[in-house]
Formats: sequence, structure tokens, C-alpha cells
Amino acid sequence: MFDVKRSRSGKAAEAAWRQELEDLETRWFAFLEKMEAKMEELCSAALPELRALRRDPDSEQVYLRMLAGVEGQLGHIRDKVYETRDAKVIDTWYRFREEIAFADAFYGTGNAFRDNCEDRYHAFEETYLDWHNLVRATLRENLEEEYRQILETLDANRGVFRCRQCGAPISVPADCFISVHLACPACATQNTFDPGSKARKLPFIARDLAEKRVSPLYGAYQQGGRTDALYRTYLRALYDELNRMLPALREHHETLYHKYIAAHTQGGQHHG
Amino acid sequence: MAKDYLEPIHGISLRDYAAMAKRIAQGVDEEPIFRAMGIDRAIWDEINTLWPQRMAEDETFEVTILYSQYFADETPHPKLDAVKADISAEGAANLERVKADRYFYEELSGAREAAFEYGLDGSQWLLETFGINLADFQAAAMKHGEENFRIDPEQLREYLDYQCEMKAKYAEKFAAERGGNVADDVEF
Repeated sequence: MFDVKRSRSGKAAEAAWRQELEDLETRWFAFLEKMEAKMEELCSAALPELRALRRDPDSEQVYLRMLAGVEGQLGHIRDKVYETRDAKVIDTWYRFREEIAFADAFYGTGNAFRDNCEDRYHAFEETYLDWHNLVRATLRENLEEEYRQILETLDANRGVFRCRQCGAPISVPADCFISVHLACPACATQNTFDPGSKARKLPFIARDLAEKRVSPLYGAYQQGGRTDALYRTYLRALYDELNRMLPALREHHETLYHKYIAAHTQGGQHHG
Repeated sequence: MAKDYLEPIHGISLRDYAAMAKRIAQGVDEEPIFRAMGIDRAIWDEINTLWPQRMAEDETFEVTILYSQYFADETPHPKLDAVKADISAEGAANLERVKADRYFYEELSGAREAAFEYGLDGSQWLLETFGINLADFQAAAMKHGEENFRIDPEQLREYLDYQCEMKAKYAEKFAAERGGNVADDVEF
């Protein structure tokens, strides 16, 4: 179908090219539509299950494997589209350029073909990113609840912590997310407070949650020309959140804040 | 470094910390490790918070680089040499090959990545299929990573191409086991 004899010249060659480009464009559009439908089918089925697994504290590993699997399948769809674009659209465009001179009035037909196909490809990429972001967002969906539960458990454990020797109550810092040695105020016996495995996740949850809470500021920074001032506003808000959630790590947070501000000012890293 | 980030914490140096972290990642029980080092869970929790903090804060990256080197280092640790992970004879042989044979390492890297993309726990798959645990694989990865700075870029490209090739090969295998990819039936 596409094996057009290039030795033909003039109107015949133009007509053959026109037909080939039209056919290819139609097929490319139909192909992308089908690939988008596949993404929708995959994600519509996977998202409710991912959200349910994310809410279940016992299913963390299952959730992470499913997330990787869904992202993997989305990646395969994207790769297949990219490879097809290369083999069909771009390759055809190059053959066209080799055969039709730039000065030729007919050259514009090839240009229009390339522009239409590339615009459609970019629209596919945006759709892919939208689905990918939705799938990724399940990671952060349950953070407020998870954070609340950790604090609740921690508070309950702190409230009942007593000296193993004399039974006197021992005060435990509110954001104590690791095991600590604490001396009994009554008999000076050394006790070990273990906050539990859930509480050990607190710094990681806090970090993700803080990112989520200040995400509009990060968006403003990205869309506002990535200026130092917008970066400072975003980063300050991020570390203020972290300081509120983990006051024991305030010094560490402030060190990081100044490190990242300096790096940004020097045109280096852009991560908090 | 602005601060003395390499000072031991509760007597635990960065080398000690890397050796401990490696054994924990190898699946060794924590208690024998703590006992061998003369610490308890509370001390471990603290150093396991502070060393990563130092790595994050250090602008020279020296702490992180040294940590990677110590993690990959196979010199026996004076206190932890007896505390070892169980590894099968086949696993030990595969591990030696991963360290010595760059192509085999690239094959397993590609396979592990493909496994993740098919919803498998890539590290568990590596352990079950080749008897190599994640920590030992990471240590081998760090060794090969160091080599990347010394070798010819063309050679490095060849290694990476091989990894991609192997990833595709294993992806095909995993896809076949799962009845294919979701968009396999869409033709251009």
C-alpha cells in the first residue's frame, strides 16, 4: 500500500503521496484513540482497587506491587506509541523530505501531515500524563488519615508509659517516632520507650503529607517561571509544615532549607 | 564539610553503620547485630535517624559516597563478621558471578526492573530465582557503579544497551506468563 514508486514524477507522484499521507494520518489518529481507550480501561479498573488497597494498612506491599504493575502497563502503552510514531510517522516524513524539495509548493502537504500527527501525539502524551498522575496520586491519597492514626497510636502509647521499676508515669515527647531511653523522674531507672513500627514511618509520612499540603505553592513555582522568590515561598511553607509535624527535627529541617535555598539561588537543584 | 559529619554516633562509625544496614537489608535478624555491636534498639533508632540526616545535610556528598563504598566493601567487619545472612550455595555462586561478570549483572538489573513493571516484587524475584538478596545485589551495583567513572563511554553504552535488551527479554517472559500486555491487541 505504501510502496509507492518514487520514480514517477509530477502529478502522479503528488497524488500517490497525498493518498499515503492521508491514509497514514487516519490510521495514526485511530491508533492513538485505541491506545487512549486502553489506558482509560486499565486505569478505570485499577484506580478504585489501588485506592482501596492504599487505605488498608495490611496491604502496603500488595498496593506497591499493583502500583508498579499499572505504571508498567501504562509505560508499555507509551513505548508502543513512541515506537510506532518513529517507525510510521517520522520515517514517512523523512522519506517525503528526501523526495520533495523544500521549494516545491507540494512540500506544505508533508508539513501539514507532520504537524497534525505530532499535535495528536502530544495530545496522547498529555492524556498519558494525566492517567499516570492520577495513578501516582493514590500514593498520597490516604496520608492525612495515616498521619492521624499514627498520632493517635503514639498518643495512646505515650499516655500509658510507666516506669518498669516503680510504676511512676514517664513523660514522652509528642513526636517521639523512634525508641528512646528515658529516665524515670521518681526512681531514675532507665526505661526504653518503643513507639511501635507504625510510628517509625512518621518522618516519611510527614514528608509526603507536607509535600501534598503545599503542592499548590509548588505548582505556582513551576508555572511562575521557577523564580527564587516563588521557590522560597514554597520551600518555607514545606519546612514550616514539617516543623509543625516533627518539631524534634526542626534543626535538621532548617539546615536542609538553607542548603536548598542556596543551591537554587546558584541555579542548581530545585528539590526540597 | 561544614560540620564534622563523620564523627561516630554513640561509638558507631559510618563504616559500622553501613555494615549494620547491609546485614539488616540482607535479612539478618536485628538483635544479633545489635548485640555484636553492643547497642540496643533505642541506640539503633537514633543512629539510623542521624546518619541519614547527615547524608542529606552534607553539601559535599562525602558522607553518602563513603557510605556507598562501605556498603559495597567486603573487608570483614571486626565485630560483625560472624553475623551473616543465610545464602544457598547456588546463591553464593550467582553472587560471585554478578560481581565478576558485568553482563550477568546487567542481565539481572534488567530482569529486576522488568519484574517491577509486571507487578512483581523484583527483589523477592531475584532472591527466589537466583538466591541473591537485595543488599548483596545493591553492593554489587555500587561496585559496578564506581567502575562507570573509569571505563570508556562506548563500553558503558554497550553495558546499558545490554541491560535494555535483557529487560525487554524478561518483560516478554513476564508478559507471556500473565497473558500479555493490555495493548498487545492494538495494531497500527
